[in-house]
Amino acid sequence: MARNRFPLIAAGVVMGAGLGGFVDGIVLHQILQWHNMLSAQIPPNDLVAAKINMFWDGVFHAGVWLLTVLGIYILWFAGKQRDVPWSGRTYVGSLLVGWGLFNLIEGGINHHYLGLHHVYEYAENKFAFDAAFLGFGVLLIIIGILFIRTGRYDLSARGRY
Amino acid sequence: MIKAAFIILLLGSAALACPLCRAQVNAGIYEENLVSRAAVLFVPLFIIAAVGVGLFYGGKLNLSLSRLRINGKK
Repeated sequence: MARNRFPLIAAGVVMGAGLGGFVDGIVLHQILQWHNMLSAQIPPNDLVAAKINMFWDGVFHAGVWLLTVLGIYILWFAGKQRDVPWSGRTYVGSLLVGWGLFNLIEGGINHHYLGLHHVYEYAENKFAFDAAFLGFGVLLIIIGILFIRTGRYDLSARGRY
Repeated sequence: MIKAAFIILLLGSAALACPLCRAQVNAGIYEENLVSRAAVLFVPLFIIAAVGVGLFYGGKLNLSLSRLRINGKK
């Protein structure tokens, strides 16, 4: 039977992007408080501006939650297909690719193109942090692809049950 | 000393501002740019979702095409 690794890779990429979004939101928005969703447009310098940013942070978290749910949904379907090899290496690699993809797409659009916020809003050189965010994304994608490549030797399927 | 500082902080404008600033916060959120801001915010997530769905069906398409090629050779 021909093997189809794409459903598992799709599930990992989508879920990895969702979880990467949570890392951004939890670590950079809430714990370190380096930026908020609209902090370049509405600097959170007073309670009103901070609460407006808090609202948009919540909308962002809702979005990445939906992305994670979509990843679980795809994973469920991938697990029921006989031709999908059930490979941990492929899945972990796909999660890393998804996280990296999140950094590239979110960083490219929100940081560089639209300027909604920057990674470290209070730094003198904001571009350096924005570039490091993208660089970390590229690194995650490279590591993820290496994992996915090693997973091509995993052939056993989970199958229907 | 710490208790006094804590009480002063609680009585300060920031702690009391919540009920007072609610109208300003609502005005800042539910304004004319609400829908466009939400749309812009979801753009990266839609792109990633589209990539995921594309990968899911792309694999099936790839398999179908390779089966067609094999059948064509026969």
